[in-house]
Amino acid sequence: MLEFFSQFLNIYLIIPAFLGVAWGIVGGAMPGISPSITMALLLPFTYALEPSFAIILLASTYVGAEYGGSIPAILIRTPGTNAAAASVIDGYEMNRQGKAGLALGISLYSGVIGSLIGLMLLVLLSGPLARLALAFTPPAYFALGVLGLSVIVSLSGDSLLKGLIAALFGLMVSTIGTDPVSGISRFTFGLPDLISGIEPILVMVGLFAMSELLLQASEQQDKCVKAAPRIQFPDNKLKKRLLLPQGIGALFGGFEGVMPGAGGTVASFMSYNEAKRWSRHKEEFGKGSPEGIAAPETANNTVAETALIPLLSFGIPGSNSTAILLGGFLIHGLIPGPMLFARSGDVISDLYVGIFVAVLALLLIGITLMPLCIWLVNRPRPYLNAFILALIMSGIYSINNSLFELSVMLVAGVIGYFMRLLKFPFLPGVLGLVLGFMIESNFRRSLLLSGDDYSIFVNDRISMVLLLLAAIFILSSLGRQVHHALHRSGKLVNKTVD
Amino acid sequence: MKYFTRDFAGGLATIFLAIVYLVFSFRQRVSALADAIGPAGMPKVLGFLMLGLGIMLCSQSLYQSISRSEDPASQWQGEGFRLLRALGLLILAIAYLLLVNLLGYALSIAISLALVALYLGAVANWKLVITALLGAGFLWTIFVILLDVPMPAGIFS
Repeated sequence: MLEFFSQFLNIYLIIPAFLGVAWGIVGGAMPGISPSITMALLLPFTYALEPSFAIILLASTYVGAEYGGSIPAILIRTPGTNAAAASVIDGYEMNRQGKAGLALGISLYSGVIGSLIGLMLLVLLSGPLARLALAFTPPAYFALGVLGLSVIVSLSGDSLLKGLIAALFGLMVSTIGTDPVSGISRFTFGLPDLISGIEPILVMVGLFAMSELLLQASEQQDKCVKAAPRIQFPDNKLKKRLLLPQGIGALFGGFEGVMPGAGGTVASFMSYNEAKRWSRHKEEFGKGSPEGIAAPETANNTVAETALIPLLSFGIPGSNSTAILLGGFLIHGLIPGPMLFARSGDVISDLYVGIFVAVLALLLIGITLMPLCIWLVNRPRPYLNAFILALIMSGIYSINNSLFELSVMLVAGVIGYFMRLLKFPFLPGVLGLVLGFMIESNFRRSLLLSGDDYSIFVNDRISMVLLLLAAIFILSSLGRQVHHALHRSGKLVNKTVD
Repeated sequence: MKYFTRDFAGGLATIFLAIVYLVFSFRQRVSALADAIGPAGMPKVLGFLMLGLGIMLCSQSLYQSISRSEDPASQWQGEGFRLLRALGLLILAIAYLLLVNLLGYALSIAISLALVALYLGAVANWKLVITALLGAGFLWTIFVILLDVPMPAGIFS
């Protein structure tokens, strides 16, 4: 314990933790700049640094970036990262109601809770969780994708039919690019820019942010209430209410984080869905529910730590961000895997303490930064919207320095605008896009492994459990939808009779 | 126009999209290395599902219009002027896209900031110019200096 506190006060751990978090928040808050890009920009500077300093700097950047994505999601309806897309729903609604300070407070509070739980899981449960990750085979990954898609029913709002159409649209977009098994091009129309597929962030920024700008331009009225320029943390009563969604978020974040390839986006959407299912205030979801921010924010911040488990235990990077971190380890001659704990235990313990300091830094920097962010979004609407357009155009260009990707974002914006006019929900489409590749590639790989025997999905225990869970989720959500629809049609008939 | 509700318009758009997608799915080239499902397998399933759902949405909308259980708020009101306003903003975004390589990032983002703000209702005065210049400077600092993104330099570089 004494050793822990002496390390905790070590200035060489505090400096990289604060620098990393500050840099991560800036990168994460820029639409198009993903956590991995934010970390990759730092990588060349780490050559000259001490191993512990360098690794903590990169890991803290990851922690900061995962949180930073929620700031534009709440304030300007633009998810800074893929994982922040679920926070747009209720976060932006709260902002429209003049509660931006509270929404940001809940996001920061839940982010810190999620990070601390993630750190606890990382320190205490690395072994068993890593073994679980290794037990995942292609059929299990396919089933995990299907489980993710099962959320669609409850993300569809009033019309399940429209939700399914939006989800299919997302799945269709995910088929653009190189076929995952044979390597042949699909729907690329001879355009080399489409060979690697369409990045989900382009579609998300188009659907959420660009469509909102187009809608505001067409309505020419400011529907947002000005927010008080200060961050507001939840009071004790609200904190109690947020416990359940935070628990759900931590559970999904812990589980999805250790699965290579699953990531924070799926964890955020699934925890949002489950928080809604178990909430006593279901009717508030989608209309500015604090629980609708707490669950996904806890989930994606838990992922930032638990994603390190397969990396540290087996040297398997499950995402682009952890691959960059792996690069950081290799630069300093450290090879992640079982031997890392034996050979470089000091670096690992420094990393754990460094992440703890980074979580505290997240809180302090978040509190300092928020009033400025809220002040910025309280500027007159024409200036603010012009700035948002310039910001997303710059951010999207910076992903791959591609003007083609900017036009893809604009097309997604136009599609989003018409989807909003025709009252189609976005979120099932986003989920379909994110999960499409994972579902198709693992489905086909499974069949290749089994010689086209479909029973592989039932014979694999993990796959069977996940598929059963997906079926239960879908049936219970469908039951709720049917009940809701009957209730509504009853009301409408009564109104017509009157 | 009685039957032309939002849902009916959405259903028609879905059917159109499904048909176009299916046409390209059936034209998909198959590799000799392909598995039993092949690169066109999933797209074909998705296309037919989309087509089915589009037909269901149109039918549901027609049924609701005929049985008069359609919520009056869902009637398609005609979006003429509103669409034009949105189109104006889109044209400004496309103009930026076309000019950024020519004028360079800093100049085109400053012009874009001023024109978009003006289009959205800002008054043309010194405040607009200062805000556009400050905004462009801020974005240039973040993306070019801090994040080291190679933004287009333009003909003035």
